[in-house]
Amino acid sequence: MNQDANPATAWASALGQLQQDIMRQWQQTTRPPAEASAAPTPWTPFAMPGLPGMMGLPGAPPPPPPPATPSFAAWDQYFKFSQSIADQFQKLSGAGADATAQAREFASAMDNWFQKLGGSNPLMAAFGQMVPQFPQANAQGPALGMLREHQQAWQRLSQATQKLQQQQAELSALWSKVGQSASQRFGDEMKQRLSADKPFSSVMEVYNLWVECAEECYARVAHSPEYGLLIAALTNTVQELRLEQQRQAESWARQLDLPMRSEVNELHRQIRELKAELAAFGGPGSPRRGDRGG
Amino acid sequence: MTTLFPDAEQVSAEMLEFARRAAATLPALAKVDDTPAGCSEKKAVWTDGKLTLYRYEPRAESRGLKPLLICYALVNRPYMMDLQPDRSLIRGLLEAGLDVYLIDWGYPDGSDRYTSLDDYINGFLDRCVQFVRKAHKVTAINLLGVCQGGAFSLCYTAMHPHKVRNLITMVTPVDFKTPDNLLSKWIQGVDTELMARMGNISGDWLNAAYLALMPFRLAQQKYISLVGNADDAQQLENFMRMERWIFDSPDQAATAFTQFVRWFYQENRFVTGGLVLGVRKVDLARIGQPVLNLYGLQDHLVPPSASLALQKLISSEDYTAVGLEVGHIGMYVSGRAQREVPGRIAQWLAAR
Repeated sequence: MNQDANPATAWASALGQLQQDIMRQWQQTTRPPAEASAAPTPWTPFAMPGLPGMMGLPGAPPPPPPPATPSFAAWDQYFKFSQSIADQFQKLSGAGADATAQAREFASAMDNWFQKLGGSNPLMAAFGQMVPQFPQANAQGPALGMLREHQQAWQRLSQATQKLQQQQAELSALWSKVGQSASQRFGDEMKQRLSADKPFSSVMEVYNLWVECAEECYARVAHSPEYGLLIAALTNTVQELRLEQQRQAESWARQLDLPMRSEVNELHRQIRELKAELAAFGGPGSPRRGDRGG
Repeated sequence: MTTLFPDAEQVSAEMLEFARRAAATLPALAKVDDTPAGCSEKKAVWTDGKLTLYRYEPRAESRGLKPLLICYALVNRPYMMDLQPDRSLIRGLLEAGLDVYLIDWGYPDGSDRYTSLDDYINGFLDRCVQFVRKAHKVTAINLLGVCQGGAFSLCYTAMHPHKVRNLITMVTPVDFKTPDNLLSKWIQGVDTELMARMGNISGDWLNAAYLALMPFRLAQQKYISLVGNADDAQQLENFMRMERWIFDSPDQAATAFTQFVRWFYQENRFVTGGLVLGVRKVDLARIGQPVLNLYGLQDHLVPPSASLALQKLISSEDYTAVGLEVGHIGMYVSGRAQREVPGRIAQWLAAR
């Protein structure tokens, strides 16, 4: 491509190529040794390691390996973001563009980008991963016959999953609200800059203003009772789901005469009681202690 | 006509430069070695289960003050107090002639799921205090509590007032229900009984919650800003050291964590009363010794209002509150804190 002939297209293309190179280089740098893993897993802060695999017991594939680097997804987003900004600047920085239109179009582009970000938001992705894909058969019907206990367990699991999906959708809606208000706020800031005749001096300045607006709008939503209740409800649902999964796992462990977490817990509880009794008799008490001088 | 955005050529140059810097930064970051945790010389003088009590080697002539025991939080690791030579609160205290001990709680595992707040405060913390008292042949020591460790120190001082000569609280929550406490708002509806049934609380879960307080800044902007420092090896090393600390989060013992959430965040028992640990009632009004309360004016985790509530709850007539223009972590590692905090603590203790 001839850069002199079409500089805007050329630099955008070069930028895209560079970004691809960076991502490839970074992936190679952080790849686990040999054939240890397949594609890198996106960063999922709320994901509980092992849960997806546990859902399909028995014969489920092992859970995916941990991500090579937790910030990988974030870097990917930065590059997408920068490309998005570059595209906008390319459209808007031409001679003769109306400044108000610039502000409006840019805010709109940011809004679109935010929607995309919301879709690939690690928190969203995490909840998405939590949702298991298991047969819906017998999910609603009465529990009858020899397998009624198992059927009830699966029903509880199904209900918790549906609840999680619903709450996840509610959270997405709130995030969209944040995106919309952040775009609006960003547009307002730009109008003020226009009237004050204070153009942006750099792309980074634009980005920093965007972050400022987004945090401000996010904080407003995050402090609302609605958001607080939803986050708590989501946390509780995730715990319910984990509890049901644990019951399923323990059921299988019992069938195979494997030790169960509940048995280990019981042992810990008994040891704790014994230590307390020992301490009451003036013994050394619960913890191992060692005086190393000093 | 006003043009709001830079022209195409400038944008082009800036974006390419950013991409080049990012290309240089990523491999450079990958090469930054994990630096050792902590920088000042110390010796393990006591172990108790997973807990280790450290005593730091002196770096200046002793001021002859009572030993200072630092009680760190259960969340995150205590090496933040001694991160690197130019960012070390502990080093500053040592250079001010103080005799410093630090509690490292260790990493709880499944065998600790029933460890309670009573175990931590009336058990582990008390035994550390006993050790220091015995080693120095003193009846009372100076206690410095950090964040959640500050709340522990308040409980401890209220229950064992004769063992604490002076109390220092740093970025310590006291009123857990102030309107600006976002974490508190989110946690009000959490079912702690259900949570406790699922075992220890993972450090990853806590990290996600902390990041969600300011997601755009903490999960995005800080990495974007880092690219601007690609050529500064020292900056990259500092960044990676901090990154390591931020995500080096021990799991939390299920019983203690859920008690902390319920009694402190949900029921706000420092303020409303009724806090009992084991067989002992915790009444902050029993704290009559001198108290120095250090808080960050920009703290988003423990807002100033949460710390400042302390004065009304204690009976001490010698109470000093100092707000610094720093955030939660900045209290230990910022240049301002480095300049001001150790000296203030040493002077305050020397006067008492």
